[in-house]
Amino acid sequence: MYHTTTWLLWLLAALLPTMLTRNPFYLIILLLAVAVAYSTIGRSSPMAASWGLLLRVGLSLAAFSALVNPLTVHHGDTVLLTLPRLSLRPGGIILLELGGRITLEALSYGLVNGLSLMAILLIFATFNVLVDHHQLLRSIPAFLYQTGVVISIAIAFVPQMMASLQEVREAQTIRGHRFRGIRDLLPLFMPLLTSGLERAIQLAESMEARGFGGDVSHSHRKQELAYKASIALSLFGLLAGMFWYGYFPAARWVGGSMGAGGLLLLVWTLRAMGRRVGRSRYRREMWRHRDTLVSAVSLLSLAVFTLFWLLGRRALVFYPYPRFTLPTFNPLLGLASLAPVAPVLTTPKKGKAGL
Amino acid sequence: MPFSAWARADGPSHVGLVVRFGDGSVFTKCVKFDEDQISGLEVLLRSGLNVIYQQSGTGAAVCKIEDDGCDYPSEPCFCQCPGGPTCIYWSYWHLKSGAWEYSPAGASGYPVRDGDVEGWAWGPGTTGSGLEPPVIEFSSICAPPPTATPTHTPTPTAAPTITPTPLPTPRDTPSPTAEPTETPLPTDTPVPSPPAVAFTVHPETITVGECAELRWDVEHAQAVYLDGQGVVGHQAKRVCPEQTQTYELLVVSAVGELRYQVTLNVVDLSPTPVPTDTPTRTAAVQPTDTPQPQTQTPTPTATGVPLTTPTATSVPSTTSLPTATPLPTATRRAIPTATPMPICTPVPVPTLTSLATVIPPTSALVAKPDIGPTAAAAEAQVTGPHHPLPSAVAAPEALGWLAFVGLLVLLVLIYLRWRLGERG
Amino acid sequence: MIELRNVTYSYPDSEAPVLRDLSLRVEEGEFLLVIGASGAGKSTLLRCLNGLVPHFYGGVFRGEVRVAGHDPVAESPRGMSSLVGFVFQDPEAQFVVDVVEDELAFAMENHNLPQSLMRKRVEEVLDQLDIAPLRGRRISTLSGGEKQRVAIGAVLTLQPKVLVLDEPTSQLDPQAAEEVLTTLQKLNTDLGLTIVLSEHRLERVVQYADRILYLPGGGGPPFIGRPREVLAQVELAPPLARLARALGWEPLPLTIKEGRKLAGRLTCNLQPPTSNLQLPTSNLQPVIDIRNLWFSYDGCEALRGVELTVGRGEFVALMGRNGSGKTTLLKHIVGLLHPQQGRVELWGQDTRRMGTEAIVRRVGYVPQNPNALLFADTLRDELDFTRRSHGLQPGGYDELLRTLGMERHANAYPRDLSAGERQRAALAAILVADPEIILLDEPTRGLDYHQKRALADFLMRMRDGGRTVIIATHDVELVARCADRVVILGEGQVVVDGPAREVMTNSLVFSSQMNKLFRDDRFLTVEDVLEAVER
Repeated sequence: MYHTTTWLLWLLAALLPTMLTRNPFYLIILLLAVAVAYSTIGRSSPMAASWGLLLRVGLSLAAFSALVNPLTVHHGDTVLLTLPRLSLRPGGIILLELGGRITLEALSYGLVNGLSLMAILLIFATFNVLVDHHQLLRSIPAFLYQTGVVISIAIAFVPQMMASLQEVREAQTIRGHRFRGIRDLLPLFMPLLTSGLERAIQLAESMEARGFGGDVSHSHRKQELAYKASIALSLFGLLAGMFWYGYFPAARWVGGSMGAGGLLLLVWTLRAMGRRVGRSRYRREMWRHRDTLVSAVSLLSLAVFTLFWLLGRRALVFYPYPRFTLPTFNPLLGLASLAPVAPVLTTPKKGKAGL
Repeated sequence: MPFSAWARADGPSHVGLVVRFGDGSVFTKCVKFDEDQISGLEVLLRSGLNVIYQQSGTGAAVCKIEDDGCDYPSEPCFCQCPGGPTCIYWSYWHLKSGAWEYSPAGASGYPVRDGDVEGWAWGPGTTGSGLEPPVIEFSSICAPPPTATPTHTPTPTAAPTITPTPLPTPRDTPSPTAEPTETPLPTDTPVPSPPAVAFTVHPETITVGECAELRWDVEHAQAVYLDGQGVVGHQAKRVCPEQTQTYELLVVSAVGELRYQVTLNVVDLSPTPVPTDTPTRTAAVQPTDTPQPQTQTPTPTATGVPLTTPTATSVPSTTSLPTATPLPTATRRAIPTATPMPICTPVPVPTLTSLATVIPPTSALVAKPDIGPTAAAAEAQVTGPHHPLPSAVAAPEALGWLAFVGLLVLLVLIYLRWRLGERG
Repeated sequence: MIELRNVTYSYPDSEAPVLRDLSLRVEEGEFLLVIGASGAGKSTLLRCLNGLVPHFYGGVFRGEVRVAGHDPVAESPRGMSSLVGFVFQDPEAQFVVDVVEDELAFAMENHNLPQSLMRKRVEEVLDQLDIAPLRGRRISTLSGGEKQRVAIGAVLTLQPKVLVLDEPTSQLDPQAAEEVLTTLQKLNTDLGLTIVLSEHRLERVVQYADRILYLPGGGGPPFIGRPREVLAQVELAPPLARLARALGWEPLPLTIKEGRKLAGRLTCNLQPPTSNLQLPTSNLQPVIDIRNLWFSYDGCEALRGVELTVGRGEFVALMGRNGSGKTTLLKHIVGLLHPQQGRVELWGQDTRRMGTEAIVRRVGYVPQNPNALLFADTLRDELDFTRRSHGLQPGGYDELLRTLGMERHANAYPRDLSAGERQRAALAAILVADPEIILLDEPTRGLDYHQKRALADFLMRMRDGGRTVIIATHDVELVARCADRVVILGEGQVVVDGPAREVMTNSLVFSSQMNKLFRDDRFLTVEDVLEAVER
């Protein structure tokens, strides 16, 4: 329904707030917006079943975090209750100090941490449901196209494997085989493995018969070497730049420019390598009006959060220690957190042409 | 800012140090040094605090300051960071443009220059974030010196500059009521460096059976006596009186004799609200949240008001308390401000939504307790200006809530609209 | 268009060459059908056309091949891919992506065609093969026939000059096979595409072929000629051709239509044969009793109130469309599934109460996919494994191997065997425990006529030995040959249940060629007719 680029921007716009802020208000709005996006336009996708699973995982993680933090951290002014203390000090390291002062600050910090985790999980789950994987894989840069194809095949292979497993299990059962222990798994996995391998070989035949893989123009040894050296150099520059940046804060600009230079060289080399690959990409997605709208909303949200991060970071911070206070709520940021719900507004209803 | 003037002056460099302990108490110090720049660790070490740090190939990590931390090497340096979700450690900050910035480098690797303010806080956190110390501007910590002070000798460390040799005569005659004859500074042409004194008790109120710590730091004095006993210039002493006690510090210096008093309240466990319940509340507040009232007004119980009558009746919530005292206090007040190293209480920074009462400059806060900053004061303030606070802050808060609820309603509407559209 | 000259090829690990001194010439626009016994080299020959042999398989290749002027051995399969489109047997293992449109574009992407051209060709192919409604569908949700058509489309987008298909309908049910074959015929007549096809199911396709190439295998000379010529001479022929040969009909009829005329002349002279009808089985003791069986999974009802009773020694054929519940019913009989409603009783005992071990000891079920069974190093090990799992002594199965014709493969790695041999190996692995009830699920996939006949004879011998046999199959000829009773399932219910002759004669879809030809319930197989003629 939407272009893959639109979904990628959506993902970024949804993820950025989770990285930049721990303010529960924005996180709650973000979470609900993502949930609404899933439950309206994501339901019809075949991947929908995974969403529920990830939701449950997210909830348990949030609950876990909300429990662990107040039990182990005893800072904070507002004591809710005081439990008997249980201390684990193997060899002097305060490994665990359970109980003791259960403070509101620690509880709220744990809750907000859990909320943040859940938001990230749910964002990825929804993205997974909404995006078209095959088109996403086609967006992989040209020099890595083999990876894209392999992942594509794997996505199809896994359900096939599951079905095969069922088949094999039944087949061996009717031979009288009982699965008692580890050794009894051999008759289960061997056919599966060999079937999988055979299928893989057949697929390889089919792919070769259709011309796969013969597209890299033969280049000279020297050129190959040059590419390799270039990549090595760029990685070195990148790492050295990062190192320099951290260790010599006085001469930051040196580190920064080295890192930037390394990065640019890497990108340039990879693009040059990609151009060598003689392979086109079939794009069946069109860029529509609604793609522009949703992408604009995503970019706007990104801009708002980035600006606040650079200029008014205080608005994003929620740190309950030492004394719990309710976080502030900036309506502009709240609106920016609402961005993930944009596709719902621009998706046409059933039967209408839409944007 | 005054410190910029400082920076250009020849002479020693100064850097402000703010340390927030686990219980909320705050220690500030103006550290002087001669070099162009020193490391953050050096600043910490020269502040006079007990610091334990672990030196490794990549630098030093601060394990313990005073009582908070881990006893390296018998314990691992970060013993409170076992690797789980919680990690309690000494976080390291730098004050930049009025806000704390998490230090990008370790203490031994960070170059500190004239005019910087360093911060340390013991609390939970992770890489890149943690508990912040209260924001105290450089000018509050290191007040600028008077223009003509050629006799300033830089005192690099916390080494006492006086010898604890008690002079027999002054000891026998502690004169509580005698006013030391002080000549105002300007009359002396060769200005002797006046003593810098900080005399505090922490906590200021205890219950029977508990103990408190008397602390004093004196510079440029010839002799110091506590209740008649000769003592060193920098010391902390544990006292456990059974009842309310007033301690007197007599400082003999070139400018004369100065007396300072602190009173330690001892209460029974009575239902009266004891301010000591909240000693952990720091004077500084986390930004963007509701501001804590940061008044430095001395309460009658805990101020080291320079002598005369223990001002038991001093006005709690006014900030211009010292102005009520007679001249000697005024001159006395002037003295410490002339010194480069007074220890003062933190000043709150106006926050975005802050409508906190703005506190007067530190000049008014000569001998205020620095550690456990006027928790009692704050307590008194809590009940005082705190009342107007909610209503004043409530207005933008209410708007925020409204906006939040409004956005939630919007989401629900979008969802419903879709659902209904599907069916229709 | 295609020319082979003295091609000799042997696979890497074998000494005997598969193709020996083969020479062949195919004209442009020709529809060539390649037939031969399993293992005769059909697949190998086809793969020579686009270079998969020898590039993909290795081995020793001698001779010359030219396809549209290009040499597949010199240009690898990639180079030949724009000239030769190759479609494989297994519809499951040919797809790279899960979306139809993307799969169609895959080949073009490999050749770096520009976007506009790709779009144009995709549209064309969708129309040519009539799969436009499947455009955005996920391939895993398509039926077998649709999948194979998509596979054809995937190679057609490169606009090859030759289309080569290696047994494309062997894994499909009759309807799907029909779809694919008519598509091929259309491509050949409308577009003039050269088609080289290898097939076992000759009855559907002989009428389309321009020529037939027969590979005898084992060193015999190949034989190529017009369909009628070839069918008149080879053993592997559809029943109609065999009958025509036996009766000396000229010209050899290829379709029912052609045969009708000749058959009409015959019928008046035929005497009704002595009754070789089996008596109804009501006096046989029931070994399987299914009452009001309901079962659903994944939200769909597979079986709806099925009632079935099978007596000892009966030979029952279960027929029906794909998805009508045949496999599910068989699984209930062997105890892999339990009814959600109703009962399944074996020898008077409810399967829910009998343990799985007890059931599988006496009921043998040969699944559709023999690959799911075979895992051991040698065939002997497989059989020993089954015996040990049942708690029996290993060994004692030489007779069985001989009966199945597998004794020379006793020490072979089961997965190295050809499809038909694997099918028989799986059968051996189940029968080695000597079960009283034998269930087979689609046992004739990929078998040629000889093998099917051998299997039918074997099963009939089992039946004669007192065992009960139930096969679920689409193969009408097999059913005509050996089944006593036919049960047709439709949408999870029993639609028809009666003696084989009766049911098949009255059915349009489930009737053998002889049946269709004569419309007489006396004549199900060629043997029936010949017998009647003799009298």
